[in-house]
Amino acid sequence: MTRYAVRHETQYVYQAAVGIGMHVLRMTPANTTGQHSIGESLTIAPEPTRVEAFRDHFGNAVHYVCVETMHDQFLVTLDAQVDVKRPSVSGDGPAWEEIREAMRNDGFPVPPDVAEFVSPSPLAFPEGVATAYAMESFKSGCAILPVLRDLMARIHDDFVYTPNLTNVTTRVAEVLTLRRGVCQDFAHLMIAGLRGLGLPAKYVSGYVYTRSGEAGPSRLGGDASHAWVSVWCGEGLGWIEFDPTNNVMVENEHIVLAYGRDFLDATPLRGVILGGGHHTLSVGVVVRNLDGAENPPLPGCS
Amino acid sequence: MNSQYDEMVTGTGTIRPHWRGLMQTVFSLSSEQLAERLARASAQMADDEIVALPDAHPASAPPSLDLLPLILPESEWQAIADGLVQRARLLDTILADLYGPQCLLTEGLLPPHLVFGNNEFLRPLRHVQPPRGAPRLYFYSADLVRLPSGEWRVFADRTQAPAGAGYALHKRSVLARTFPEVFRSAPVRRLDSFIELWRTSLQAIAGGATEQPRVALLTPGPYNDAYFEHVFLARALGIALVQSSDLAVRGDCVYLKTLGGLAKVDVLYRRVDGDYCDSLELREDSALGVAGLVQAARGQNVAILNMLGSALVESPAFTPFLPNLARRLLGQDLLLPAVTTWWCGQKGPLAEVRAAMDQFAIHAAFDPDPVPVEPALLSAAKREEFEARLLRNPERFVARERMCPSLTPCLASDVGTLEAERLVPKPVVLRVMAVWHKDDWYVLPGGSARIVTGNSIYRNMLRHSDVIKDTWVFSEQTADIHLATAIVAPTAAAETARHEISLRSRTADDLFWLGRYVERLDSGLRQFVAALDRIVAGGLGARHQVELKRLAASLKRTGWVEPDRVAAPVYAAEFQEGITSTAAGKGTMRSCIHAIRRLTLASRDQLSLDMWRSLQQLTNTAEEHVDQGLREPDRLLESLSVILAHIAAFAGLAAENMVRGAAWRFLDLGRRIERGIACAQAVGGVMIGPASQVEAGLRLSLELCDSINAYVTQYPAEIYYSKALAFVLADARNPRALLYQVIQVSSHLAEQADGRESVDVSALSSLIGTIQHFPLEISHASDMEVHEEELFDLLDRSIDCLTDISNSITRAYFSHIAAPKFTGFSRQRFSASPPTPTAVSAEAKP
Repeated sequence: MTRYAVRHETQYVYQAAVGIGMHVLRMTPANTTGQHSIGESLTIAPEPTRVEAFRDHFGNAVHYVCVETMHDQFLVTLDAQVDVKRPSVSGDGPAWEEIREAMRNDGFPVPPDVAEFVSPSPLAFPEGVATAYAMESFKSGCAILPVLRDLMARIHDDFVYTPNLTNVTTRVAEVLTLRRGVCQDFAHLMIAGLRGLGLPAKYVSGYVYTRSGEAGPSRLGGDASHAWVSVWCGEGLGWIEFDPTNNVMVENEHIVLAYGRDFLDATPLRGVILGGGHHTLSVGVVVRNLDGAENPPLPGCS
Repeated sequence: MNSQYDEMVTGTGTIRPHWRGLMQTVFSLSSEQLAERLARASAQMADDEIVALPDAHPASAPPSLDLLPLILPESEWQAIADGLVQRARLLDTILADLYGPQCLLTEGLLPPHLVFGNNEFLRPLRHVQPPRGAPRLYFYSADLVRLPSGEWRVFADRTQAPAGAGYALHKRSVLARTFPEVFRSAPVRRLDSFIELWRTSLQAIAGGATEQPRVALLTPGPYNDAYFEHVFLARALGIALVQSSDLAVRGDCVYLKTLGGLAKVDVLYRRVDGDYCDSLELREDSALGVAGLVQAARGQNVAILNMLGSALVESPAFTPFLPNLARRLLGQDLLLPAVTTWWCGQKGPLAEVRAAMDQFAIHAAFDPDPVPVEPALLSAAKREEFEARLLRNPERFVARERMCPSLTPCLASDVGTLEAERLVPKPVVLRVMAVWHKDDWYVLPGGSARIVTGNSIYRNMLRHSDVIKDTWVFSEQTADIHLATAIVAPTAAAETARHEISLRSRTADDLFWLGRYVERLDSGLRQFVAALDRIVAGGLGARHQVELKRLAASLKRTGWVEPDRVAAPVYAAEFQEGITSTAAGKGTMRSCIHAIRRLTLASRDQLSLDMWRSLQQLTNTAEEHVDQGLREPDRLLESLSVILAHIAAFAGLAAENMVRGAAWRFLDLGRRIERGIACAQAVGGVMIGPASQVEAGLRLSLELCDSINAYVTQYPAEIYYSKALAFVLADARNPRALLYQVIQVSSHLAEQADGRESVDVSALSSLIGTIQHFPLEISHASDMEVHEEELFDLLDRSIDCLTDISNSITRAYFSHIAAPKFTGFSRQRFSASPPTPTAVSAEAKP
C-alpha cells in the first residue's frame, strides 16, 4: 500500500469583477477497488453561497458550487490523502473477440451497463482512422491484455507529449495527424480506437505520482490533472487501467478522481460566470508519497 | 398507392355519415360565398400571425390552414384516445426507470444501446426526481397514420416538447368563425375544456410550492419555427412567455428577472430542447437555456415539463420493444400499435429489413428530425452503397415501413365554379396530444392534421410551408359540443394572471430602447423633411440658403449626415445630393429602423394589437422607403412624411391605449430622454451662425420641435428671440419643449422608484431649475454672442444630464440581465503560484 498526499489548486483570475459564478467540480478522489480516500477537503475562495454534493450517473462524487458575492478571482484547493493498493493483474484474459462478442450479443450485451462505454461519445467517437490505428495491435485470436499493452506502447512511441498544442476539444483524427498531444488526447485516441473495435473503454481523470527528484524514470502528466484509460477485459478481469502517456499499466502510482465516457463527463471543474471579461486560469498539482520519501518530490515535470 | 383509405368516401362511393353535414354546407355555398369565407379565414389568420410574428421572418410563421377539417366519429376517436393515454403512461414509466434504476437494461428488456447510444439520454439528469409528484413526461404527442385497412397506427412518439396544440386551438378558432353554421348543426367536440384542464394542471403542479405559484413557458425566442404557437399558448394558458435572458438560477432555484427583483419560478413548461437547457451541465455552447437549471431540477425546486431528458424515449428504436414493455410494465397489450418499425442493431430485424429493403424507409435511429433513405427510390449503385453503410453500424439505424396515408378532401386553391372541382383528395397524417393531470392523462379531442408531401411524413417540426387542418371529433354527448363563438380567447382570469407577473427587466429594457429609437427616427426625419422642403421649393433664395446651411449643421450634429456629405455650398448639386442620398435611408436610418423592428418583436407581449400593427406599419413603410432608394426630393419628402405619420399614430396609441404601468413608463422614459436630447442637439445645431441671421435659427428650432404652428397662434406677428427659445426650451406646457421632457423623465423615475432608492434624480431637478430660470431676454443686440454661449452651455449640459440618466436607468433596472458565459474547463498548465485562500473549507462528502 502507498499513501499519497494530493494538493490540487485551480485559480481563475477575472479581468472584471464577477457577480455570479456557478461551478461543477469532480475533484474528490474516488473510493474504488484498490483506492481508499482517508480524508479530503475542498477549500473554495471566496466562500460559496452554496455547496451541494451529489453522485452523478457514473458514480463520481460531484460538488455544485455557487458564488454569489462580487469576486475577481475564484480559487479551489483540494487537499486529500489517499491509500492506493491495486490488486495485481494475473493472466492475459480472454481473446479480445470474445469480449467484443459479449458486447454485441445481438443487442443485449453482457453485462449491460458496460455497453455504455462501447457507444460513441462526443470526444471519443469511433472514427475510422482511430479504429484502423488500433486494429494493428489486434491480431485475431489474441488475448486481450497483451494486445492492449501493445496498443498502449504504440501510442507512447508514435506520439510526442507536447503541451499547449491541443485543447480540450481537439478531435482524435487531428491528434492522429499531429502525432502530438497531451495525456487527454492519447486517452481519447485509445478509447476511440477500442470503441471502433467494439470494446468498452472509459476515460479516467486523476493524478499520477511523478517521482520527480527520485532515481529512475519520472512520469509525465503530473503538473496538472492527468488522464488515462480503463478497458473492460471480460468478467474475470473486469476493468483494467492503462496509461498510454507513460506506457504503464495503472498500479499504485495513479489516483482516480472520476470516470466517464470522455473528458466532458469527468471534467475536474467547469463553470459559468456572469461578468468577468477575460479570465486567466492556472492549475497546480502536487502529489507526495507519504510512505518513505523524506524529501517530497517537486511539482510538475518539464 | 391506389389502395389508400379515403376519409370521406367509402369504397362504394357514398359519403361517410360524419362528413355529410360539412359537405352540405360546402356545396350549398356559391363559389362567391365560398371564396368570401376563404378570404375571411385568411384575413383572420394573417391578423393572428401579425399578433405574434414579424413578417420579416416568414420561417417562423405558422403553417397554413386548409379550411376543411379532418373528421372522426366518436367511436373511432375513443380508441385513439385510449391508446394514446396508454402510450403516455408507458413512456413515462420507461423514462422513470431509465433515469432511475435502469432495471429495463439489467433485466434485458431493452437493448442498452437505445439509451447509451442516444444523444437524448442526458446523463446529468440521472437520479434527478421531478418535484411534487410531477411526471417526467407531462405533455405527449403521437403522429398517426391510417392504413389502407382503415386502422390507425402510430408512426412517431413525440416526448421532447411537441408542437401542435397551439396550432390546433388556433385553427379551430379560425374555423369556428368561418363555418359557424356547421358548428351549430354538427356535434363537434370542443377544445376549450382541454385548455382549461391544462391550465389547472400547471397551477396544480405549481401549487404545492407557494401561495402564488409562477408558471412560465420557456421559448427559444422569436426566431424559432414554433414561436407563434408559444405566444398563442402562453396567452391561452395565462402563463408568462419567457426567454433564456429572462431567467436566472440563484442558489438552486429558478427566477424570473423583473423590475421588482427576482421572482421565483415554480413550473417551467419548456419548449427548448433538453440538451440546450443548461450551459453549465448540458451543452456548454447553448444560449437558449438557463445556466444552473439542472441543479435547480436536482434540488426539486422547479418542475420542468417535460422533464429534461424526456426525448430519450421518442426514438423509433424503442418502438419494436414497446408491446413487450406494455405487458411487463402495465400488464396490458398495446392498444394503439405502431407501424412496423425495426431497430437494425439486432440480427433478426436486420435480416427482415434487408430481405425487403423496398418496403422500408431507413434513417438514423437517434435523430429527432430525420431524413430517411428509401432504398426503393435509389439506383442500384446508391442502394449498394447505402446497404454497406447500414451494415457497418446497423445499431445506428431504424427502418420504418413505408407508409400509405389515407386521403382526405382539401379545398382546391382556386375555388372553381364546378362543385366537383372544389375538392382535392390529399394524403394526411394526424398529430394527437395528451396532457397529464394528477396521475391521469387527458387527450385533446381533436388534433393537428398535416397534409403530406414527398417524404415530409417523417418530419417532426411543423414548418411554415406545411399545410395543416383542424380535426373534428363528433361527439355523442351534446353537452360537450361547440357553440360558434371564439373559443380560446384568454379568460379574464388568465389575463389577470398575466398582469400580476411584474414586468420583466429584459422587456423593460427593450421598451425603453424602443421608445428611444422611435423618437430618434422621428427627430432625424423632421430634419430631413425641413431640408427637403427647402430644396423642393426650388430657387433657393437667400433665406432658404441660410436655413439649409443651419439644417446641415444640425444633421451633422445629430449624426444623421456625415460631415463630408454636406461640405459643399448649399446651392451646389453635391450638397443636395448629400441630403437626398442620406434621406433615402443610408446608414443611420437603416440601423435605426432595424433596431425598432428588433425591439418591437422583443417587446411584443407588452404591446396592444393596435400598437403592434402600428409599429409593423411603421417599420414596413420605413424599410420600403430605405429599399426604394428614392432620388427625387419631392418623392423623398412624401415618403418621409408617411413614416412620420406612422410614428405619430404609434405615439398616439401609446398615449391612449397603454395602461399607465411600468411598461408604458419605460417606453415613455425612452421617448422623453431621446426627445430631450434631440431637441437640445437640433436647437444647438440650427442656432449656430451669425447673429444677423438668428431668425433662421429660431424658425428652424420651432420647426424641428414641431412647434411652429403653436407658436404662430400665440405670436402671429413675428419670431421673437426670447419667445421662440422659451417656446422650445423652457415652456413646461409644450410637449415638444426640452423642459417638458426633463420634467417627465424626473416624474417617471420618481413614480418607478416609489420611495425606494434607485436612480439619483438630483441632477435632473437642478437642470429643471436652470432651464426655468435661464434668462432669455436680451436688451442689446451686442449681448447676443455672450448669450448664445450660455445657451450652448445649457444645451450641452442638458444632453450630458439626460445621457447620464439613461445610463443610470440601465444600471438600476437592467444590469442583472447580462448574459452568463461558459468559462470552459480547467485544464491548462500551472503558470503562477496561487495566493493562499481566505475562505473556510467546504468539507462536503457525498
